[in-house]
Amino acid sequence: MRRLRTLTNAARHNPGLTTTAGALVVLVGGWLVGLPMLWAFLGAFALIVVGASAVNGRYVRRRLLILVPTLVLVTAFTFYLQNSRGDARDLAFNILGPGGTEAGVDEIVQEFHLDEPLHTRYLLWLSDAVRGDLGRSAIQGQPVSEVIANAAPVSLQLMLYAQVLALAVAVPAGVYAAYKANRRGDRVASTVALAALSIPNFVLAVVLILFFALGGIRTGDTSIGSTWLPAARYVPFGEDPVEHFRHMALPAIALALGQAAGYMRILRSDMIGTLQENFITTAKAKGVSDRRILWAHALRPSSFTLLTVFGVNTATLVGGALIIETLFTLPGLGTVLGTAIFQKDFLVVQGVVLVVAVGFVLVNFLVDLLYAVLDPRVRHVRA
Amino acid sequence: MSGLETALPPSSSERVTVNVDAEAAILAEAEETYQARKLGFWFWASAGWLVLLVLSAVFADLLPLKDPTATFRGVARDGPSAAHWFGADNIGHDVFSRTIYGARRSLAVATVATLVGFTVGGIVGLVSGFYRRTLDDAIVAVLDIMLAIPGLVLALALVAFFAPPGTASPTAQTVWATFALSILAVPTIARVARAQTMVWADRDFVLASRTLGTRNLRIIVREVLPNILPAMVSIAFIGLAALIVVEAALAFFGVGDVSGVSWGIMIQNGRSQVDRAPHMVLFPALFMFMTILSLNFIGDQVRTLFDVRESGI
Repeated sequence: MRRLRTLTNAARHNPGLTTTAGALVVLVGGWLVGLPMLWAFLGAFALIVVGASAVNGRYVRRRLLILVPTLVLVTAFTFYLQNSRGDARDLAFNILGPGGTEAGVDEIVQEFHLDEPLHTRYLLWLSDAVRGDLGRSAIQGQPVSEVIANAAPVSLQLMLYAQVLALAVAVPAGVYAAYKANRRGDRVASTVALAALSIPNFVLAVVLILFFALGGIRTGDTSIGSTWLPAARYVPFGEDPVEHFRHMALPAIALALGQAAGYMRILRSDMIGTLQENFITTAKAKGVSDRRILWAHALRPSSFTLLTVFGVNTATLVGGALIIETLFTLPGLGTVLGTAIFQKDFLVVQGVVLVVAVGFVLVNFLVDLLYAVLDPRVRHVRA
Repeated sequence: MSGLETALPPSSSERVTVNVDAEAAILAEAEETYQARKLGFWFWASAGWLVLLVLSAVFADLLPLKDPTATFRGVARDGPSAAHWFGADNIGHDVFSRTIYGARRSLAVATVATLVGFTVGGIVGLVSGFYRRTLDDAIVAVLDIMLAIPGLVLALALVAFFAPPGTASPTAQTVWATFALSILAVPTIARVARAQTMVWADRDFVLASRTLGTRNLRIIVREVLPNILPAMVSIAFIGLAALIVVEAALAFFGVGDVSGVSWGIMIQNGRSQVDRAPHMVLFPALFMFMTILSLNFIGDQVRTLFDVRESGI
């Protein structure tokens, strides 16, 4: 009983952290129970918004004020993409796909309200989209939302692995480069990072496939390369975890390298700044070991820019994931998008663009809120 | 240091050594600044590579290159040789001449888009950062919305819908691809220009100029613009590198005129042949990598130079 009271007390004193933890519980619990992903996300989203408004209500209201018009404009743009493609009859032919008849066209014009003015159609379309109805792909014979729901987890997994991998490489490298600032170790690390930043991820992907999956280059008798890892196909995690990671290894590396280089450069410059502060000199004077100063004293205050960029970077990551998927034939959103463009399956293109854009806007909004909730400096300003 | 000096008896020999030390320190600092501001070997190597590439792409017709569209018999998928320096692709095209000709499209589309972004973004950023208030709020909101859709997705959507491959003419597809890339460049450059303008417009020399009765337009052009140019040039170089990648990525999705010759198209065509003819991918990929690296490096150097001047005052 007393423990419960302590818990509620803690929750009242630190609502941001509590609701964030609650959101995580909803996400993981929802996944275990088998809650539809959309609902779990919405629940977690609502919890974080509530927590953030408890911490800093004015900030949340201001962000919401920007979020709503952004969402309206992004959805309107996506809607306009589809409807700029001709008059009502052209659109109906598009929806029907190959083999549409005149009678069918009339029916579709009725069913989809294609004779209504543009803004009415936008509202009708939006209300359908909110309820998960994005139309039906004429070519795949499947609802668009179903196509997207099947593909999205693959893209999300790929992005998650790439981010984890990028951080695992970038943090030690950045700390090391800052420690050796402007000396040889730093020069080497920074040059490597600039080079890594300059390799387009699809170029890296093709080179990785060549050297790690296809056996590399053969000139005469000598050959450089191996066939260690598979270069194509997707194995779901539930089916065979080991094979799943083996198949995801090359795509994740291809996507992570550029990200890691970016993170490393940011962490390095922030850390060099931190290392010149007085509390570091104090720690040195007290005889704290260099290793401890770097990891226990300097890393945390140096990592706030990194965290911000980590969130903002989702944009590059989304673009990268789309390309990488098509290269490794992973059945994610990128492959769906590429195929749909090729097949002129415009409803699917529109659906993917909508989901990616809206998802990205919401993620950025969440990162902003989380930042306000978790960064002690932002928290204390209000207190 | 100065406290120590006054505590010491003023013996002439002592003072001389102190003076020499101080001079040496100042000289060392000056040397360090000079070294930091000097453009190193790698800067000139990067610039040299870019100049060479641009010249050979522009004058490709005058160079003794093989016809990039000609198919040579009996050399399909052959590796590098004296006749075909970078080998030949799966239908017998000369990879070397295609790599040179391919630079044309890759560079032209990305450069035009960057120039548009530089001009439009620069003007928008200057106006927004200089006049502030409601206008600034409105412009920032628009920029935020433009950045709200992931770049590649926006470019893909624009080109796929407004110039669908197979339906639209190659010229229309190229124009739309360039337009889409410009849309990506504008908000990034505008944000940098705006942030810089805000910093410089607060400086005393701007106030002095205003006190003399200078009109706003003249202040923007004569006082602010020259100062924000280094940062804008830096971001333009880095942006150009990013746009070259996006241009190639569009080719991967098959949008934006894939009938011609460009690095992205070469890599896309070559990747299905990569086990039998890796040179089809490796050479255009290498050219692309070196170009992007050069651009990133020059962008970085320009920024470093600019930072030194800022802190040197």
